[in-house]
Amino acid sequence: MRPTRYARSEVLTGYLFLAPLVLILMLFCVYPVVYSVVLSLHRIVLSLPGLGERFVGLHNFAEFFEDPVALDSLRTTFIFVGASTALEMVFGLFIALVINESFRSRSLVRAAILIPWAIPTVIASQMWRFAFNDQYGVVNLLLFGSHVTLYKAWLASPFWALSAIILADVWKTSAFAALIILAGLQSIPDELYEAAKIDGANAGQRFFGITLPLLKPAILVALLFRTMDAFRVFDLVFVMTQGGPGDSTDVLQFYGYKTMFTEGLVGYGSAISIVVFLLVFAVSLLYVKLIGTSLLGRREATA
Amino acid sequence: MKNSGELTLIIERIAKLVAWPLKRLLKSEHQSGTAEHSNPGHGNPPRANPGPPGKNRVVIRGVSKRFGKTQALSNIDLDIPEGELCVLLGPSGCGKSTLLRIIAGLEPATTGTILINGTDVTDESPGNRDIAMVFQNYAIYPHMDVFHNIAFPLKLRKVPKDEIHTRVHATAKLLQLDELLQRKPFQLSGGQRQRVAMGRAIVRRPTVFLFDEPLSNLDARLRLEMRVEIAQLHRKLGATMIYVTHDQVEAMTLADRIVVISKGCIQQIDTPEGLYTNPANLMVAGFVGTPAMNFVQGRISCPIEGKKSLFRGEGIELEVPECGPPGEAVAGIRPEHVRIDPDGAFSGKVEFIEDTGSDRYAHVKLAGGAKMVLRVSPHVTLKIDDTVPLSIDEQQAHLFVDGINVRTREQPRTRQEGPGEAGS
Amino acid sequence: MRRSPGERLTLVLAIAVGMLFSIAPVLWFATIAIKSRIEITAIPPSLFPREISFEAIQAAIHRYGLMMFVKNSLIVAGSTTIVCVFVGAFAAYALARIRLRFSRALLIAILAVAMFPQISIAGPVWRILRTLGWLNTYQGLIIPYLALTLPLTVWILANFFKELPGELEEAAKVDGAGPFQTVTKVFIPLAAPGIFTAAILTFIYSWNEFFFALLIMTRRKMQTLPVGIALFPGAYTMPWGEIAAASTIATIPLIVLVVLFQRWIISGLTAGAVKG
Repeated sequence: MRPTRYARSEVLTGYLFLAPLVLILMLFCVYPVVYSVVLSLHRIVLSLPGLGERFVGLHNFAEFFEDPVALDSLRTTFIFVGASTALEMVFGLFIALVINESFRSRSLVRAAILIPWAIPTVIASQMWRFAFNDQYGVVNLLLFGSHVTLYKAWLASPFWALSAIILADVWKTSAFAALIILAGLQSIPDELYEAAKIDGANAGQRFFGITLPLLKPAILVALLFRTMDAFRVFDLVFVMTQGGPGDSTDVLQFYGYKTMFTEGLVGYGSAISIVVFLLVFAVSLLYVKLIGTSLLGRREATA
Repeated sequence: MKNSGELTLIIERIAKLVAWPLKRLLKSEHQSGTAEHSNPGHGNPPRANPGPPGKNRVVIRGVSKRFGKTQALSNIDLDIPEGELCVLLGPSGCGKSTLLRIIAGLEPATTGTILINGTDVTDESPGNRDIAMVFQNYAIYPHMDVFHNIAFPLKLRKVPKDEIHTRVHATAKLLQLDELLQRKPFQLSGGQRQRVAMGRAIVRRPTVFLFDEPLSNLDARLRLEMRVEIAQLHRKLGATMIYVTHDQVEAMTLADRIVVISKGCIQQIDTPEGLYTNPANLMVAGFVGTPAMNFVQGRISCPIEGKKSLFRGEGIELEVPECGPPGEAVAGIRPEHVRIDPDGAFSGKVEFIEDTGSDRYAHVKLAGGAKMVLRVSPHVTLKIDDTVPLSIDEQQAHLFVDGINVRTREQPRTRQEGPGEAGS
Repeated sequence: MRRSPGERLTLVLAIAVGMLFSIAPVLWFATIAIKSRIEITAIPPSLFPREISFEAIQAAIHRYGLMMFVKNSLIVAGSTTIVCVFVGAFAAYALARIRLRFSRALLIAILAVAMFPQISIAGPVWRILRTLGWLNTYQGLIIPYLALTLPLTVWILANFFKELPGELEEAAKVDGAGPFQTVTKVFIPLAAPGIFTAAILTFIYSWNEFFFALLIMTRRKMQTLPVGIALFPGAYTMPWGEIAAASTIATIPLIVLVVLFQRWIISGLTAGAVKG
């Protein structure tokens, strides 16, 4: 086929319209990742410029797997991701079921539930940090009232500090999971529930027999987005604990940041950042595959 | 990049984009720039651009279109003279809309050229072809009121503000939209939206108007009303129009000339009566006319000495005046050309009677097995299962051999293609 | 649908729990902003302020330069939003409406880019900006923000543009609109809800972003609200009243946005997600 000059110019216009987007993404997303890979193969210490930028192959990655702090932060990251996403799914499902009901002033309730999602993470972090404060915090007040001697220094305990960060994350992002699950809920046709009622299913049977299985794709999508985001947790840790006490809340993205920008170990820090990248990539592939098969399964069922 | 041509195009594009804000700044300079639309139309109903008289306004040469493996159009040639309302008629999926979209420039042709007003526009953008189009779903901009919808094409052409004002008002008056200029599309009825869409076309005074099934979304009564309005508009503007429809009644009532398209080929080009009385082939014969023409399968027999050749089939016999070759054939008889006739040569049993109020049709089954529909006078008393004697007006009967009409009394003026030779 | 008294009670309780969980902490933190310094540091603390004091709010504004952070945040988030929607609208038009060979692959690539962890691009982005001399400048933060917000914007708008009737675009072409005018005069106004949604989400994202702001804005005068609030200086004890005051002030615009536009926000957040 001989494309007309007009059709060709239309295609060119299309590429021209895409050019700024592609340029920005190439320059500030794709190129930096490649650059990070290159940096991760070098030994670069900012405080020792005399060392130069020596190529060291995979040495930095080997170092990562021998570095107890790094391995510890890897473990912490996994605990954080697992616990926070699991809790977010539970709360998200709960919220979604509530705001899917119709009642007066529902839009106001929806807005209220969105507020934690909308406020800056830094502010949420400061808020929870103060809530868990050992002397003036509201958590101690609510738990122990005026029994000041019982007041706990939550953020000074490795277990409670991590728990506090997880709680703050769950508080902040359950609404997001809820919205995606809500969209899934709204796509379930009412007839299914009516048919089940006629078949004599009670509320519990309807929930576990219809709602939950049909929500599986939506829950997986919510999990995908939430997992991606949980791997990138930074603000909460930076504000609430700075990775402490000890290194007990030192998640990977924070550890990478410290290594690269505080200690100036650019090569090693880049290696950590590439590990985070690969982790996120692998997990997202897994989810995309799961979502693909679950959507496929649903399509077969309806066909 | 295949060649330097594309590179210059890119540079042109970038230059255009960069120049755009500058042009805005220097807007006043450009207002006088468009000579083509500067003739003011104060209050007068807008008329089509007068061009060289007697010329073909739209010339289509060898246009084909392929979508992947399907051939949507093959080798279309068509000339549309000044001032004609030409209807492209055919069943859905026949390629008529594709042809219109190729004329509009919304779809590139695989091969062939389009000339509008004598210039080759095959490579031009739709906006540069001096055409206007009315779409099936109106395509009026929902975010603009009626005035701005109609003014939009003029604004894009940088017509001065006061001229836009007079032209939009004149157009609105012509279409009885003057009360509605401040309304938004969602406040309009279907017919009013349709009129806005026409207004947007008329206000530009284009060389050619293109209509893509413009009435198919209206209810039956409105469709009739708008049909009359389009016919009147055509008379008033004297403009060249190309009109696509699958509705043969619309085609028959509106058209100066009808182009019947089927399976991507032009089947026949003729006036409405021409199509009706002289269908070129089986496809056209079956498509045009309600109820449809009756078809009877049969054979033309070898002429015996001294006798005319005869068509025999499924219970009827017809004389074949010009000696056709013997073999398979199909006879075509319109419902009004079969009569209940006491002296009739054959008979049929009434199976069903259809009363439309003004007309009455009887469905009969001939003794030989053929089924026929005939128009009967409302005064004749007929019952189902009656057996009636019938005669056929042989002068009006058609005979198709290999799908082609062999009994057309005068050869149709234009080139025809049988369905058998599609794609030649 | 009629509910039995039991169902009603369950629903009311569930709503109450949901609301309490979501907004009680915010309300509590806001009360800190209007407590006096003595009350904030009382042991045991009080749940509600006994008297209202604007001490903390005034200190946050006058002593800690809160309005400077607000100004920086407004400039950065505002510019990011405007440029992002503009660039995003044209890109989305090209992806949704022009038949390009790579548009599907590009859409998927854009989505993949949105998943990149910040840390894996942080070092090089910092180096690029240092080379350009853009550290501690507005554009130095706005352009990386564009890279982070464009994927979602393009995704939302491309979905929106795909749904618009093709006839309108063709009508515009026949009327003589070039591609640029088709986008600005037809597509952007028609997709106003989508544009609006994308704009709100972009604004919230760039108003809240912390990681890159922390890296790029090292000079106090250039810092945005999140950085300002995270790095609130305190000699011996944290100035909790001022932090709470600044936080409350930074949160108010977002609460207004959420209350007014929750429907758009919800549609935007779920648009990309449900299509999978």
